[in-house]
Amino acid sequence: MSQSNTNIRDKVLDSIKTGRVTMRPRWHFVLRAAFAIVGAVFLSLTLLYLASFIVFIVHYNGAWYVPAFGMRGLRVFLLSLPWILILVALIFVGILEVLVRRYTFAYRRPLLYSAAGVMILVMVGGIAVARTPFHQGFMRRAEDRHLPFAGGMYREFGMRKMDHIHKGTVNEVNENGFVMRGRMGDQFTIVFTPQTRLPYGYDFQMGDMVVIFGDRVSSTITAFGVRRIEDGESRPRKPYIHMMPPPGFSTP
Amino acid sequence: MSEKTDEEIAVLVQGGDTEPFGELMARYEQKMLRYARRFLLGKEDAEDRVQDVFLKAYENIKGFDTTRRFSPWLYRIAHNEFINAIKKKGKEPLPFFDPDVLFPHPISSETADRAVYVGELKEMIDACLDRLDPKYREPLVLYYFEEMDYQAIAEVMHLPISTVGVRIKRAKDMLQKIHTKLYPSYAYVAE
Repeated sequence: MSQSNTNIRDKVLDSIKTGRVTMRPRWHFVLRAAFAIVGAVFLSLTLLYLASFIVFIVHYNGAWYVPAFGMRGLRVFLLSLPWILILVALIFVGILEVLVRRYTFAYRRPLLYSAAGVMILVMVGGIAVARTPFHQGFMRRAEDRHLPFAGGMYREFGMRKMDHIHKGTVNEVNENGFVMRGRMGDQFTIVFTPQTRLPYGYDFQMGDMVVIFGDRVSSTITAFGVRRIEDGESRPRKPYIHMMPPPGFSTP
Repeated sequence: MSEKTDEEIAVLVQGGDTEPFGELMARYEQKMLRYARRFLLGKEDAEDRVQDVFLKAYENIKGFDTTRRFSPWLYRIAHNEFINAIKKKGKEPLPFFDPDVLFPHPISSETADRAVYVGELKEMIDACLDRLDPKYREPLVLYYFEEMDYQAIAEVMHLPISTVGVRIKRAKDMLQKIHTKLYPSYAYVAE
């Protein structure tokens, strides 16, 4: 046995005996693990909230429906996404990864797998939460200025004017299209052209919730595409009006 | 005491009996010094670092899960200690993020050449180790000198097993190039 080895052992044992180094109590490790778990749970719930808010906002603004209208719709959809929230959500995914990376289940697999797993779970959870009345209730309270916390966020993202995307309720059906009442109560004349992409076998009724994809000039919107939606908002149904598509109109 | 396993001794230390910790140190001193000297290239004071490793191990021993193996736990402490020493020196690159951990890699065989070429490889590694980055140097040291398998190395370095395989493969390729440059007359077949 070499002298240096004996020295190391002696020095360490001496430090232990003289109390210069002491064992950390078990509760220290329990507390640390508990903090890590609480942190991971808090981050996961925040991520879930953010993801569901993003899905809700994209639905609420009508952007969710426009990719169905081809490349132009897809482009508008991408431009309409709340990128700042998506970036914040990605940063949270990164922090969550760092937090769980010390555990065997996380570091044994490539980062791509765990990050993809987290993102899939968050997206599925986000879509599920967005389908509940959770955010809808908050949005109504935010609109009525009865939501002190996060009310500004709901108003900022929910009331944002979207280029080319218009959401509202069919108020009156006529032979060229219909009149739509927007979310703020303003009226728009929706004009169909032969190029307008309409739902298959479309029958618009008064009271239908619709998303119009098209160019607006004053209060007239020339529709490039129309989509009827169900968004869970309870609105009184108006009398049914059957409408036949004019000759030459396309249906997607 | 000598017939007890590391984990059984750790239980005794956790219970407040400090004497058996000496036995644990006796079992791991040589290994830790060997690991430190090769990974830190002897530039650092390996003995001081190993002393710190044992002090940290004692400090944190109540956090050791005695249902698991003691050896990877101690090596993990040593890994952190040595990485911190390299960072403090600031002379060698230690990237914050390694893209190798991002994607899955096919796992290469880990035993074939260790058995056949181990003698030659150890000589070559010893001759050229100082020319490798720490991220390649460490898995080589753990694999060829500490004789750990990929899974144990992955546990020590907190890496996916496939990344350990990739690093060892790349390290050997680099070593071969460096060795050929330094000693053109010496022929070595890595694969």
